[in-house]
Amino acid sequence: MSHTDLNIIAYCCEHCAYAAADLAGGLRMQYPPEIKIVLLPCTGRLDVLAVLHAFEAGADGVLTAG
Amino acid sequence: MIVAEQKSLDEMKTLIGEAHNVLVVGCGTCVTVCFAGGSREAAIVAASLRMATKLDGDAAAVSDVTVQRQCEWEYLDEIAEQIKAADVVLSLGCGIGVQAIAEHFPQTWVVPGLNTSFMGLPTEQGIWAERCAACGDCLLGRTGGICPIARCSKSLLNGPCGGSEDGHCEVNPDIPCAWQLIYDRLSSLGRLDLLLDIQPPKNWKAARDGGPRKIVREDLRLAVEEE
Repeated sequence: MSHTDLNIIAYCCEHCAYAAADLAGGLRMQYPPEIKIVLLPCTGRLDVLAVLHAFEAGADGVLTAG
Repeated sequence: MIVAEQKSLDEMKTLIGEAHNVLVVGCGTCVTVCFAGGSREAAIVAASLRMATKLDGDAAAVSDVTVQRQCEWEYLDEIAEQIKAADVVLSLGCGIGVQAIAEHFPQTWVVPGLNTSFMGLPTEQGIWAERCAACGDCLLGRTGGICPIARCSKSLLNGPCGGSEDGHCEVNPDIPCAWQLIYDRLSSLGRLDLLLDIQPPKNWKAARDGGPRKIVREDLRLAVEEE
């Protein structure tokens, strides 16, 4: 599997990690396109089901940041 | 509540066998509050089985549904069509739920996803402990509300035995001696006099030793229509 074949789902907290990614975007910083960010109101909301569904839908990895 | 634990995913996979259309049925009562077989657990088991069977090369169509109580046929009627359409039903109810499905749907193959463990309560987050053995002849009124049948490893009626050591059971030091608990509680309540009554051998006929049990309440039964 090459680097660009990866499919990573990133569950990010609205108040920190998502805001940080937003700021990084505003600063024109780059991050790999393989990472798809999903906004959560709080990573405490992240349920094991959301992780399972990501893998079931074909994700190679799940990142949680908060 | 009835306390149960999930079987391993491997055992569940073995139980569903080659079935292609699998219905995972959760229960919204006891096994929900002990985090073994509620709607959330049913969804997780269904997703896990979908992925596991896909990885094995023969993806099964696994869906999930949860009823309020698996142990009453009226609630099962709500999902009758889904049950009848399934090749196999994986019940995440207690053993009663599994049997309720089997009895109510004679043509349905139903297998258990849980191991039903005991009747008990949560003593702290994540820990459940046995409290009742359903002996059919409750004696908690003589023991200060602490059951020696369920909580004494030997179910002694006149304890403690010689294996009680510093309040712990000889069977396992993690088990508090039920008779020490009974003595301490009766002592603190000023009711040690109760221990002077030696209990005769218990009539176990009201427990499982009398065979499967049944309660008939004539005051609640529906009148049989006369022809």
